[in-house]
Amino acid sequence: MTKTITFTLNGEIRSFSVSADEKLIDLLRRHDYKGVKWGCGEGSCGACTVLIDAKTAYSCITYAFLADGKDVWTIEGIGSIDSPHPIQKALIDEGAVQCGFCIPGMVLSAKALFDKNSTPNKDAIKEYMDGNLCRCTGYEKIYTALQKVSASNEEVSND
Amino acid sequence: MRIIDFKKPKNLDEVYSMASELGEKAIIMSGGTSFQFLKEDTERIAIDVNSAIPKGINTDKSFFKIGATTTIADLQEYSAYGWVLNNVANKLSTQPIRNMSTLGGNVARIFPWSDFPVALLALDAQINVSDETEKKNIPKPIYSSKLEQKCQSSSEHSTSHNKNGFAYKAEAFFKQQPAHLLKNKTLITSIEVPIVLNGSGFAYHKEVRTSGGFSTLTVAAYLKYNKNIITDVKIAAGAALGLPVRLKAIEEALMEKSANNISFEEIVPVLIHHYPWKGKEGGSNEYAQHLAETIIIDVLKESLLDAEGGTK
Repeated sequence: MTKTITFTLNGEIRSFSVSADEKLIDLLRRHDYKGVKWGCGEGSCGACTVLIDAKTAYSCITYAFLADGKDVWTIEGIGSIDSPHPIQKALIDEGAVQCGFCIPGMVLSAKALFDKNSTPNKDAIKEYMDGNLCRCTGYEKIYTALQKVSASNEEVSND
Repeated sequence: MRIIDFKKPKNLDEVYSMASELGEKAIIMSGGTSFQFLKEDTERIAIDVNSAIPKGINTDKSFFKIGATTTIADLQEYSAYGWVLNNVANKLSTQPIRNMSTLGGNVARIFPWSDFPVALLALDAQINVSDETEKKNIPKPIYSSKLEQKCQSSSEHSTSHNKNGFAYKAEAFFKQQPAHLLKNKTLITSIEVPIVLNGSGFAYHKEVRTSGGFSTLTVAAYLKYNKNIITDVKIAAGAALGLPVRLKAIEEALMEKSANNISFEEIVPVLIHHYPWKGKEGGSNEYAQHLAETIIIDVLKESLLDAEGGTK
């Protein structure tokens, strides 16, 4: 049985036909939002992270119908090649992207963190990002990049 | 388990009406994160209760009342004098899971590694439920002091019933799998936890092998003292003991003893053998017992420090 749900996706109101047991990741990827990555499939690795009402969620264990009426963001809605989001730019500048598979989830988690606290310290960054695994970088470059975003935000707020 | 349809009731009347109509096929959901652990081979229809059961935290003179659909992230971010569940919430899994999971969901279907039941047992929390016959009176976001008195005066601290529905003390609620207890069209509407005032303290420890991993041992303690004598102590443990339980033998031995670290160090090692500790994730039972002894003593010391105002 399929039903229609409606939610805001990357700032645009969209309606989708979903089956009851469809997970949000499957719905999104079915509609070509391929930045949402299938990793562990059990809510551990963070590759499938999306934002729902400004909070991170693992789309691989979120039933699609739970997104009905919500505000959902995927990596496709954050920055662009020509104008990357400051978090994306910092990750590139710091060389924090290797295979890149975890990066969409990393960027969305970091965005949720910075939207809540524009100047987190390293401990706050590590704590908030612990739901996103990276098997390439050893995390340090990612943390360094995010600390630079934090420092940059602090400079702006001090100006 | 396969979800074949979903419903989104707006209030409890609709929940009960749907549950009656669907019978055994109905399954209540809020965050839905625990569904991946359900291995049953059945087709179910999900009733999403997020719009039907309140969320948020209210305070009374001596209690915090938490709506059952409040997320763990909300508990983590909440701050108030005597509020201790943030210390439990921030150790539960990872941030996305905390954003999705709800307190009601965390206690409605428990697993050996469940976090909140251990804390709620030590806090002697009260779990308020409604049933179909009481639906019109639930969920008022108010306290029922009479109900609370009734529960506290009960020697078993088991269940009470008044016009607002049923209330279970945590110990009675977690004696069995709550999902079974709640089968007959009853719903968790709110959970009440005490404000931990000066002179009383709370501490919580979750032992994990990785930061977002499941617990291998969880311990929580609530301690109250007067004139340097322990007047109330509740200790609970989970993971290494199967489903979470109160450690009554240790509690009884500590009552009316001096409120100091020596009491903990003398009593806990003697009584630790009273419980069947089971090693997790490759750890031996002997290791689990040793770990339990060390962590229970540490948690008691920390709860005493909290009672003395050291962590408040």
